[in-house]
Amino acid sequence: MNTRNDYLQMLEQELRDVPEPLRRDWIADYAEHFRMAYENGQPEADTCRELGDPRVIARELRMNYQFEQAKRDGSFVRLVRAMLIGTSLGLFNLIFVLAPFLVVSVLLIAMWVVDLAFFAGALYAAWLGAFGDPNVGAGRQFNGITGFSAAFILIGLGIIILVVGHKATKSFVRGTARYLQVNRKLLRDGVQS
Amino acid sequence: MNIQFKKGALDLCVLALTAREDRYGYELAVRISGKFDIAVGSVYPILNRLTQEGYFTTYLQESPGGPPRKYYRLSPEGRRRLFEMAEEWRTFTRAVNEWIEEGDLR
Repeated sequence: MNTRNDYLQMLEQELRDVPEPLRRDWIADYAEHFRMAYENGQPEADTCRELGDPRVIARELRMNYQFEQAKRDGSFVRLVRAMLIGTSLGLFNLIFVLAPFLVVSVLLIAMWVVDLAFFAGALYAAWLGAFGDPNVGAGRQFNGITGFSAAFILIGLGIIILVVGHKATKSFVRGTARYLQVNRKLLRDGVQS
Repeated sequence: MNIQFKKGALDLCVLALTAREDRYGYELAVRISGKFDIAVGSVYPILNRLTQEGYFTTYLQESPGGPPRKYYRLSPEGRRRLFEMAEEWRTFTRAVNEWIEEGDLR
């Protein structure tokens, strides 16, 4: 990577997933840097070297972007994307970050599964209410109105869990994004350190 | 207390450099990378992040005899953050300095 054009092309290539106004802005920063360095009489090859590996820089830019988006919309997917990029750059302490992250993620996923079970249960209870409980004897308790009541209660609980789970997931994503931005390692000389 | 002072100091220094006057990216990149031993190209992601966090606003201004340059201006929010970080930094260095004094290092 010895010329300005190669450098900017590589950067552009690596940032192709980033939406347009942002990508243009970011690449313009580096184009401007080359221009100023040139005005100061610095050879292009030197500028390329001091800027550092464009692939690493692109990953850093993409990671910051995903973290900012995750903080904004609380999106779990964006957080995971940012974490994958950061991990590939060796910026996180995997034992201290990944283990607690997985534990909380599993808890949150369990909560969503339980919530799904509540809604499925509500459907089942309503079905029993409408078409009669096939269980014999003491089990025939969800016939008619009882089944519908049970369905309503389950739906109510399901909605409560939905709201709580939604809030919990978002604050977890925001908190983790904030924590990781503060507690990441520094990129040194454009390479991992 | 934040023990990762180098990285903590990085954001602080970038904000502090722009406290008195707006600066353009090249100037910040070269000065920061020189002091902190990081690649020049890694400074721009920091500027971008601080901008996305709302601490900077940016604008283009004509330079004497050249194309326009992108300037970074500290936002009121950025200024608040700068004061906050500077205070944390002073508390931290004061504590460290006291220990060093006590250790009577020569």
